[in-house]
Order: sequence, then structure tokens, then C-alpha cells
Amino acid sequence: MSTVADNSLIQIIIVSTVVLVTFALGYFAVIVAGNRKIIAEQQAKIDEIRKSEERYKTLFENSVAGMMKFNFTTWVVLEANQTLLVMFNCTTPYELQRVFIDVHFDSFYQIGKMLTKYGAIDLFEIPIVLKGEPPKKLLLSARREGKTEIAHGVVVQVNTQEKE
Amino acid sequence: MNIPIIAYVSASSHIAPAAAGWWYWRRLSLPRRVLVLYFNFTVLIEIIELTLALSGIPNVFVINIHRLGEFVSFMYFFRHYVHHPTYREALMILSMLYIVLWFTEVSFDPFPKQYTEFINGVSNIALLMVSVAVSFYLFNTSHGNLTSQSVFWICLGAILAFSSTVMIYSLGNTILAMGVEQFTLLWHFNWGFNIVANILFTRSFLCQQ
Repeated sequence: MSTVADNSLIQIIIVSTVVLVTFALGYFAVIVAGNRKIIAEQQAKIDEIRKSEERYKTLFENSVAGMMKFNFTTWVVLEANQTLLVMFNCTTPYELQRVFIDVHFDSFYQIGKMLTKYGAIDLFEIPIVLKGEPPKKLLLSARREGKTEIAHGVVVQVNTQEKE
Repeated sequence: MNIPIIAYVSASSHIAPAAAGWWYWRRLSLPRRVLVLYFNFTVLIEIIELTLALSGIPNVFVINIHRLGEFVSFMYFFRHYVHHPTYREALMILSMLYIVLWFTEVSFDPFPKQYTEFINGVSNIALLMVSVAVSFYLFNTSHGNLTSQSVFWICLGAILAFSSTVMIYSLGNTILAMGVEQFTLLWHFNWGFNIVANILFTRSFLCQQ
């Protein structure tokens, strides 16, 4: 090892090589650490969105008002909560969609026109008569999702017309 | 000259990425297949180099040919992972420039007796810089886990291999002039990091993308 100590050029080469390799390893350590941090942040955002979705779903499912997501030109019901299904005496969103088209075509035709024109509809009155049940009066408020044909609606039952 | 065991281990370590490349050949993309061919070419070059050295025939021209193969293969591979047109163009220009310089240098003396510092040094520095740039580009553009991408392991291996040998390759003749003992001592960096780099190159073939 005395030759190494005596030869300054060898020392320079060894030191500079060690420095270069250390820099290279450090550089990669920074890149990997940065990448892990980004992935952790992305994961945190995904978790937050998932929690938010769950909160929305709970609200949607347990709401005392009827809620739905629908296409206001074709009247395909994309989502409907249990309260709304009970209001129309249905068990599935598809059944609800059939009720809208077959029984209440005129009301929903108007709703579609208003949503297309104004983008929102407020407290639209829908009188409904279901088989074996007293007449009901429902109020629908809905808002169009951007420029799409999808709308989100809330339906509340204001009174029953049993006594009339 | 008494060749240390690490030199044999280093030479043999080239078999690992070459074999791994053949093993996963079917699922590899074209740039990765080019690297596999390069690793196999390296194995062949190592055998020729050793045979010539043991026969007392100068093997510098083989080292030079290897350097050109290494440069072109790595550049082709890296170019595939960089989508920015300016960077891609820069890589292409750099490759062309090196090929021209290589042929110019070799045309003066196709079978040199002395180690060609220029060819080896320039190639090493250029590949080191490109590896650093590509890994930085990947870090900025990739959305997923970097360690699951083959290019990450190739970059890491390349940066380690080139950074550890940049000084030795650039001052090859000066080191050789110091004597065999000093040469062997410094060449340990080359052998040691070659082994590490080859392990990392082999690891890259385990990645799906």
C-alpha cells in the first residue's frame, strides 16, 4: 500500500472515483426517495377519494329524500336510492325507468326539455297514482351535470291526496 | 501477470444478464432485445479479449469494437424510453457524433498497440451523462413505481458502471505506464462495479415493462 501513498495520481483517481460513485448512489437514493414520496401522496389522495365516495354513498343510501342519477333524454335511471324506489313502488332502477316512461311520460318530457334549456329544475310537481295506493304529489329538483345529458335529482313527497 | 480472481468473476458476471435476457426473450420489447444481444456480444468479446491476451496478441481493437457496440446499444435503448422530441434528437445526434469520431479515430490505426483513451473516455462520459439525464426524465414523467421499470435498473447499473470507470478509462495509458501493480489495483473498481452493474442489468429483465 506504500505505492498508493507515494503516488498522488493514484490517490486522485481513487478519491475522484469514490466521489463519483458516491454522487451516483446519492443521486439514485434521492430519485427513489422522491418517487416513493410521490407514490405515497397519490395513495393518500386515492384513499381520500375512496372515503369521500363512501361518505357520499352512505348519504345517498340513507337519505329520507329520493335521490337519483338519470339520463334526461333517454330516461335511463343510472342510480336510485331505496327511498325513491319505495316512493314509486319499484324494486330496481330499471323498473323505475319503465314507470317514468310508461306512466309519467308527459311530466318527464317536460322535465327533459327544461333541463336541456336551463340546466336545472326546481320543485317540479309530479302527481302520481300507483295501483292500490292513494294519489301522491312529488316534487322533483334536478341539476344537469355540466353539458352532458346526465342529471342528478332529488324527489320529496310533499303530501298525500288521500283526504281530497 | 497474475490475474486476480475478481477479474474472472467480473468477466463471468456478463453471462448473467445475457442468460436472463434469453430466458425472458419472448416477452421483451425490441430495445430490450437489443440490450440482450449486446450482453451476449459482451460475453463473446470477453472470451476473445482473454484469448488474445493469453496469446500475447494486442486486444485493444476488440475493446474499441466493444465500446462502439456498447454505445450504440445503450443509446438505442435509452432513446426508446424518452418521448420528448428534443431529447430524442439530442440522443440521435450524440450517437451519430460518436460513431463519426470512432471511425475517424480507428481509421488512423485500426489495430492500436496502446489503449485508446479517447474512444473509451468519451463513450464513458457520454453514456454516464445520458444515463443521468434519462433517469431524471423518468423521475419527472413516470407516475408509477420506478423500481418496477426495467429502464430504472439499466440506468442504475449504467450510472454505477460508468461513474466508477470514467477516471480509469480516461487515464488508461497513464495508469498502464505506472506499472502492473497500480493498474491491477485501480482496475479493481472496474471489475467490482462491473459485477454489481451486471446484477442490476439482470434484475432489469425481471421487470414486466
